[in-house]
Amino acid sequence: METLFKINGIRLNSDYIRVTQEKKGSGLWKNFGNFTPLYQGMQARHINMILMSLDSANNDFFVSGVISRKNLKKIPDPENLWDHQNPVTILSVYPHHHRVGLLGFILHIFGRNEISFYHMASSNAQLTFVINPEDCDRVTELLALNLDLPPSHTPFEQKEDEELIKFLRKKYPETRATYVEEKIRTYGIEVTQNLKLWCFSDLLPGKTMADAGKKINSCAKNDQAGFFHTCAHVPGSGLTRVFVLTPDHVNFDCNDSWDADFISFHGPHFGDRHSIAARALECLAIDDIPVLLMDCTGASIAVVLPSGQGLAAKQALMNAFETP
Amino acid sequence: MSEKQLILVVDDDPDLVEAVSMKLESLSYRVARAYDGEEAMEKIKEEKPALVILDVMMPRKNGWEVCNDIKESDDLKDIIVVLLTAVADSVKTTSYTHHDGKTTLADDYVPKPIDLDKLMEIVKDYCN
Repeated sequence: METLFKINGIRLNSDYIRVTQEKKGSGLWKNFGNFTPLYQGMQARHINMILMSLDSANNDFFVSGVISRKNLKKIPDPENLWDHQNPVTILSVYPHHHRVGLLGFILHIFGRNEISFYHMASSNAQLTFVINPEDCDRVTELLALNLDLPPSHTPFEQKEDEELIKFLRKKYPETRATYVEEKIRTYGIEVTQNLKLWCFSDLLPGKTMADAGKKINSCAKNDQAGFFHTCAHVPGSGLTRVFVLTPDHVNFDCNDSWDADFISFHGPHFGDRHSIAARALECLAIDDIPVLLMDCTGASIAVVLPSGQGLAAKQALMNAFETP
Repeated sequence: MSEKQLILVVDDDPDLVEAVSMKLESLSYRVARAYDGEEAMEKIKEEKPALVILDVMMPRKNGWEVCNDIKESDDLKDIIVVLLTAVADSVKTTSYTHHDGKTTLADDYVPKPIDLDKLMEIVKDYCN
């Protein structure tokens, strides 16, 4: 297996809570009746999810999100919002440059060392993993050992300069901006059509994850193109599903695949604002556009749609999002 | 100046670095990336970019300090520095007063959240 992939940094953010919600066999992701999806519940309470994933590719509805621990006190009724919660650390590797080989290699490292993760998603630069806080030191040590980091790389956990922030907030109060936008600004909504979404399912931490990583990595050796998007979800069954979205000429030996279109967009401070994902899903629901996957990480939103829905979805999103 | 100039993009948000870099690359600039002030200084000394797009609030070494180091160096002072700052709207100038009394002279600034097109206009103005 190809080793020593060059990256620029690994970042850790601790003190977060992962929350999940699952509805078996719900079919169409938007047809919920009295059920309130997690993102709508969070939107109503003005709570930001710094990571959010929706997976309805397998006819079940699964949402997971990550919120700051300090937000827990704002939620007196967590049982009405989610099924499960647990403390987590967020680990990001960057930049991925859409390298399938790097993705496979990291999954292989996780598997070979029997380390589990709760969630994985790509943004335009980062591969982000949601992990158990107790595994944090081991994971960073393993990744630092197996990936090629520059000697000057940024510290894994970045401490904010509290004194500077306090000074700036006092002197320039507008740094605590509140966004009120009728239409949410983006840097552009990009549609890519005729892709293939691959799913490696029923993976357990250990050998099956290591093998899946190896298969994904070997694809890179055959000089096939990079991924457009990747994510992994761990629903209540505890079995991981790893998704990789690639051009349709790529060929993986895996459990499921779908012909798919892809929409990606990002905007100023998306990652700091609640309800962006809910607004996007609302637009798609109004126009009856089904979604296979949605992932929000950092300031990026990625939506994987059944083939042929990309352009209609872009049109629908433009009702709530502004493009330059 | 030719269109193949090297631009260094520095921000502690890797997604923003990537978004700005991709835009610059689409305009045929060569791009280097750094994710904090210290890494930026190493790349500036090593690669001597024509222009640095520099975030202010960063770990280890902030953008003001990097800008000072560039402008106080005989070797580096001609490098154009464009600051990305959330406080630019209130400052209304490219001369920033640091909280410890130092002043930093950047060549230009773009307020955050950034307008990519405006940033590209600024880069083009300095690099053409």
